Amino acid sequence: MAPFRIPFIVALLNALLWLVQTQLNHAIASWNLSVFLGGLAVAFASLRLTPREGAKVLVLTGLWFDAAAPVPFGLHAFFFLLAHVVIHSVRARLAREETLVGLIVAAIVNLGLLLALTAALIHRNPAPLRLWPRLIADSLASFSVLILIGPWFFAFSERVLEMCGVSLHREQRGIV
Amino acid sequence: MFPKRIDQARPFLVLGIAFVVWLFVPTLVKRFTRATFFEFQAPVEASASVLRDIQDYWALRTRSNNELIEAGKELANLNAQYETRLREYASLQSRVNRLEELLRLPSYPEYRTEVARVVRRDFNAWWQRLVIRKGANYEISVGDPVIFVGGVVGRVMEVGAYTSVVELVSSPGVRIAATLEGDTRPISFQGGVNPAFGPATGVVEFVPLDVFANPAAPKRLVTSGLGGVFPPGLNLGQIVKLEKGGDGLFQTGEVALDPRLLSVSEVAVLVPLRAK
Repeated sequence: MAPFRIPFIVALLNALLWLVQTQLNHAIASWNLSVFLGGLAVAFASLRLTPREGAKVLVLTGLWFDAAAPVPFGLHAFFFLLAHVVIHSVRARLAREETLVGLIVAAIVNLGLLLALTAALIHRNPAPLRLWPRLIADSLASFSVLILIGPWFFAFSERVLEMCGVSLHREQRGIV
Repeated sequence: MFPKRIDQARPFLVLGIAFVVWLFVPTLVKRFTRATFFEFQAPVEASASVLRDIQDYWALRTRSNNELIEAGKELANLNAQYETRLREYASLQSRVNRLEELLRLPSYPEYRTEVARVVRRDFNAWWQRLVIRKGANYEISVGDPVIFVGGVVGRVMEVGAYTSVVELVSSPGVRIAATLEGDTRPISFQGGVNPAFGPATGVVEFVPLDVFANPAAPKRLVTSGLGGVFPPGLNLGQIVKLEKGGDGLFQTGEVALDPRLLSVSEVAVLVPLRAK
């Protein structure tokens, strides 16, 4: 297996997830609401791939998110990698092939990423205390969308990898 | 072989080292990488936008002929009104030019209007931005003012080959020199908190003490023209709340921005006519 094949495919899938996120944000912008689905991208790469492959995917995904945001270039990539390292330290204790476990991890990571981004960017706001109701609304919206599309994203990613000749189930159990 | 404790901390150590290495990567490399990713994203977003337009087109095709005839009549009315306005505008412009010559006043910078379709709206708690379907290919450059039917939209922050990113006036990082309509004293406007399910807002500072405004009697805020980015007199919003600032010399307040800003789908970029 070419060393960059799996990371490249999963990074493309994460770019698709980013596109879904941006289109959804465009549609709900008139309600002054937004969703963030970075946690889902991190959860799949960290739980289903090897640590090294996961790191490659998340660097690419993080930089992709960074290019579309007015943040220091590399901020998303750093937070994604940090989340990856934390998941990596506990993933041996998780049933990581279960969709439900993946969804719970994705939801927790998503909330963590939202808080981390807020901590990094809150200094820009003239009234930081009044930001919290908006952040809570955005977090709830993100959580709802994540729960709705999470199972689809996990299944779709696995199916695409299978179509490209990669079986995550076999690789995770060391059959290949 | 590392002891177990160090082995567990190794990923964090590697991340720390990667972070430090990233800090020392030259800015030029980072900018190039960012621009590369940005240009990869541009066609993806533009395609999604074109698909939405096609969807709208086919949705409009389902309308009956009677509805289309009615819409045509309304458009003909509007066109007649606009033609009259254009004639008025031309005569006013020639008067302004004559007065400028007589009084030897410096003339305002001239702009070319470039209408662009919105590809993507990105309004979250940290930033409020639009991506539009025109970029360097239409000579748009960073800092150009962007307006719409309700007044100021924002200014261009990034320019790609075929798309540009506009930072909205409601974005917390935006500061504009403003003034009250019919007044000349400068006021500082800054994008503010944007509550969910509500219109975008901004804040004003350095408002003179003799100005009063409340939701029942709001005051219209317009651009002052100071700073040279925005032409004077463009609508920013309505001051709906004022209270005395900490120093007691000025007031601070809240500005309600045009609610149509949240659903804007077409904007006009004011491209300054530069001497070639």
